[in-house]
Amino acid sequence: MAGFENFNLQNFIRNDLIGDYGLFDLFIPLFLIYIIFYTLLTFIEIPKVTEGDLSGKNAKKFRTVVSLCFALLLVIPHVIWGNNANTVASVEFQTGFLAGFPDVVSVVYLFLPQVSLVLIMSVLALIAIQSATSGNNNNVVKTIMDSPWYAGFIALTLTYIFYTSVIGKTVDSSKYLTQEFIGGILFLAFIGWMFYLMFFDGETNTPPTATTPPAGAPGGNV
Amino acid sequence: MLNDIVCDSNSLYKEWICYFTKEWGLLHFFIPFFLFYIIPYVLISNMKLWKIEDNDTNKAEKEKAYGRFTTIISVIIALVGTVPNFVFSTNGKGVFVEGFLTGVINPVHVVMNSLPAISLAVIIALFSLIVIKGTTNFDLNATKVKGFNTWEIVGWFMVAFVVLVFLRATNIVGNINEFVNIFGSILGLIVIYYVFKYIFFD
Repeated sequence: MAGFENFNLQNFIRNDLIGDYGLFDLFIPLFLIYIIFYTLLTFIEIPKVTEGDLSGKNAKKFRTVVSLCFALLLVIPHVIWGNNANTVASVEFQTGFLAGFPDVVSVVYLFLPQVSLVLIMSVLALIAIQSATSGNNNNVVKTIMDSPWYAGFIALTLTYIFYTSVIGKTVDSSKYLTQEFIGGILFLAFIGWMFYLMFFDGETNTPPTATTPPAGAPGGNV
Repeated sequence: MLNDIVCDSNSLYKEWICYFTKEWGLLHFFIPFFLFYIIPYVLISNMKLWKIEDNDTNKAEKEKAYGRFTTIISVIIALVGTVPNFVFSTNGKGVFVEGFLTGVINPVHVVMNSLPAISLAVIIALFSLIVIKGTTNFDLNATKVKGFNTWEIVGWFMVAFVVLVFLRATNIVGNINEFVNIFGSILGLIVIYYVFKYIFFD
């Protein structure tokens, strides 16, 4: 096992993979952007594959070259003029011919962890809700997931995440989400719910209507 | 253009990328060249400027000739489009100030300056789709909550966005910041209105 005595995985990843070979600055963004463009070009059928002379060969060539060119055009400026992934200070290029334009790789690195966090938290929340309401006959999780309010909430969360990632800084939420504000919203929601229960919920408690008994049952069709 | 590249990094990959960009024009010549070559190549191949019938006696020869024609025309387009970017200098607006294309806008400049915004929009739209679809029903084929990639308004919004990005990248309309701010705000409000309309009332 000569040569492995001084091997340290952490140092290998930090110094060699990230430091010397640019795992996070070069390869991962390159693959990510390449595969996104390649898949999109394939699914939106650019170029359209025609029968006969092309038979998909030129289309594949086109998608590969265009996706690779786009990926390289976005990643190389990040490597040369972009901020270091460890010390992202701004998502805009400060120097070079793209000064003032957004560094796509930095923006993606800012929002990607938050996006995955939304996905994971959503799954965990739904698991918790399902386990807490398992005695309920209604499928609460399904009701929540089908609700447009839930979709709207997720859309607003995403808007916030993407907005803060593109401008490169977080919005100071303590200015807006004060205790008074949250308390007020909760109080109004509670009042609204009470009014709903008092005035509108009774409409759903309609007496069961007479239904035809199933075939074979007493009084049903034989 | 290449003078502002400073290669003083300790990282191996930065050194290599820097070397190939500064000394060999990887970013300013080769990548745009491939891009400017493949697009006309596939377009001309698909156009079929001259019909070749199946029962044509010279079919093979004609196909060969058309292939050669496509390649040479694409190479010429790519060379004319990218070599001036590499050789001649441009002003701040991306317009050539020397060479045989003096006064003409640099196409590579437009592509490079518009690419970050457009790809960012594409990537953000894609991840939004993944998260909204993923968190609402876990079924990518479900239609209960509509995917926004099926809304026509999103398509028109993207068209307007791309026009805006090209305007900014070309700089030919002067200072467009005011225009971008007003136009962008109106578009943003329209999109928010439609998103809520589709989510809650459609």
